[in-house]
Amino acid sequence: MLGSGIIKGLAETGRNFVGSYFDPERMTTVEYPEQRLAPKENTRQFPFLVFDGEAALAGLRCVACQICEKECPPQCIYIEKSREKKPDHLGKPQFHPAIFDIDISVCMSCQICVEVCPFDAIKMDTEFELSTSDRFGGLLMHKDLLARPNSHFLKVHPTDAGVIDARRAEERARLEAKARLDSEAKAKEAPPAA
Amino acid sequence: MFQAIDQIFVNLLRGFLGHLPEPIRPWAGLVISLGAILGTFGLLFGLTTVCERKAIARMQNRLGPNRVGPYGFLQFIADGIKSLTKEDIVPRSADKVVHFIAPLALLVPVVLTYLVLPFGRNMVVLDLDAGLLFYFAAGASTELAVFMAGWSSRNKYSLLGAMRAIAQMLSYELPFILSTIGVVMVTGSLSTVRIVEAQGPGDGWLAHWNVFTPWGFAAFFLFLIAAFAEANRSPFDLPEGESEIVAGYFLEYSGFKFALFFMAEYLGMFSSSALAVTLFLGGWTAPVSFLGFVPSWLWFFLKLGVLMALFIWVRGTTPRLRMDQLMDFAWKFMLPLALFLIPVVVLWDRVGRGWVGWVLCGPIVAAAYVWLGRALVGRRRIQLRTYRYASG
Amino acid sequence: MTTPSQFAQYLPVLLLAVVAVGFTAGMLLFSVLLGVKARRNPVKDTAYECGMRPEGPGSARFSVKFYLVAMLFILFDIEVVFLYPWAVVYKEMLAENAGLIFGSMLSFMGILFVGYFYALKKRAFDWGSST
Repeated sequence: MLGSGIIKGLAETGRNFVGSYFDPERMTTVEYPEQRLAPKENTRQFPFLVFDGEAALAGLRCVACQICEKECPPQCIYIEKSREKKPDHLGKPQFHPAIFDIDISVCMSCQICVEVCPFDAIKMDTEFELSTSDRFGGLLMHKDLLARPNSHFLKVHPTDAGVIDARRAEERARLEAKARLDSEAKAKEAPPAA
Repeated sequence: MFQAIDQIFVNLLRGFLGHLPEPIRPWAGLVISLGAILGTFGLLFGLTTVCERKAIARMQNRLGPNRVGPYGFLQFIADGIKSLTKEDIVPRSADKVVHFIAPLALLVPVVLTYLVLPFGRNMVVLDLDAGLLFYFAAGASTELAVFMAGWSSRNKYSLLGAMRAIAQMLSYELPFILSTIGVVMVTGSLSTVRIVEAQGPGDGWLAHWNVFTPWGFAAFFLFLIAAFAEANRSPFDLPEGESEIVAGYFLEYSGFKFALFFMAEYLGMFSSSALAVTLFLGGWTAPVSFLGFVPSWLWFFLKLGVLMALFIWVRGTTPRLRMDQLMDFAWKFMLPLALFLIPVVVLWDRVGRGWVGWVLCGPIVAAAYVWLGRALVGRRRIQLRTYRYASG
Repeated sequence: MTTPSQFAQYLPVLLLAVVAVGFTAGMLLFSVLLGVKARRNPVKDTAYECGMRPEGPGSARFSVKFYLVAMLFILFDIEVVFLYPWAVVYKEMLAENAGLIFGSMLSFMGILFVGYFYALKKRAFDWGSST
């Protein structure tokens, strides 16, 4: 009959209205600055650059390969390669970024840079309280602002970071084992030659 | 004692006027009562906006505004200051004069309708013989202001919103006025004060409110639905449908002019609710005779509050209607039903009040409701929609 | 007490209208004094159409249905206005001349319903695409 639908609807909203005062489980929102939702592991906001060790700029994993710069859909990344090379964590000589800028007012948080990075150097941060009073300069992040230690990465994305750390440790171990084998082989070869 | 509290405002005004010189007394009395009405309903407007936001938030399991003042109840002051300090932008293509006059032309008739509303015993500014007619005349002229706003903006969305608003308000004006005919018939007067007095407590313990009759019950809901549409409130908010035409006829208004539109909408809602209270819910009279000691103005504002809560509740519940549903509902359901109620009133009046009247008139009204309702929705059978690609 | 003249009776209406106009105009003036006055530019001054540049005239042509509704309203509204005086005198007339009051209203409503059904059958009330 005409009008039965609206009574059903009024009953539903009335139930919600009363229920919201007695049942805190119903509430879909929290009062933001005082209360916060528990962080979710796969949250992503804007990229940051991972570094190892203590020194932020010296320990950047980034080798300035510029893949992320080319892949970035809104083209918010700007990279300039350094002139000289320096050894990475495996001892291989690599370039490093002289300039690494991300304009986070342009970034759309798509995570493609993270997908394409072969060095696990760029990852997504969970930090979202980035508002500034400077509309143009304040949202252009240079590499010193972008650099975060690996411990931060471990904190925000523990699973992801654990897998990467394990792989890197394995790579280094394999390299060290290879070096040891090489040196042993060299040592074996050496005496007869001498 | 109860008499004193009941008449406290009347006596205060009379006492104050006693100190003034004789010739200006009626004028001063008018100005003071007008100021009191504007102040009271201005404050009520502010509080209602906050209550509405909080109530609708609760219906959606949110908290709503709770930062400004205790429990967020001073939010309306913050909003008012904000709208006062906003920049006022008038598009270059707009008709500047009409664009400026429209919010004034909208608010003034709405305020005028308050003149004939009795807020309590002896608390009416102007007891006109043709009070009800004056109310409808003043109320109907808001439509002109709405069209002025939409037309002068020179904006397609505003104009479309104004056209929709006019079509809707005109269509619902008919049931709005027709549903009150029965009240006029049983009272024999257009004076709002006489209408309220006729609904006062009779010989029994139950008051003779018009809503306690079969035709009055139906007419009350017809009136209320039409009042929803006149106030452009959900589910009849097509003229300001945000998702289609941005904000409708007041799209090009910013700053305080926007606030004036907002205020006119709420004041119109109050005044039509107050008229519903006056016509059907017995105005300032108590529903049962043993509650007669409660001050009359308290009864009035209590009933007004209940109707406002209903307005808010419905807004939190219903989605927007479609244009053809809107028109069908007005012309094919509400108009015939409102016309049909007139003979029912005659029947009720002839056979007398009481159970005989109920037995005779109740089923007739119910049958008319069911039949018209079936004629309205029965033709188009509502079924689950099947999608070609998305389902499965 | 003498009945006040028509003008005196409606004087408060005029007074309230003046008060209301004064109040709204005063608030508007107040907001002009307090409000921000930012720089204007051509883009800001155009009509707001969701960020698109407004195309064509601001006053587009409209479906004839809107005008049909307006005409139907005028027809029915006049009939409603005729109902009011009838409703006011209904009780008095009932005691004096019941036949006249019922007869007049029945014939009036009859004509009204004929017009209503004609409009209904002509699909004047239909808004959908079926017309």
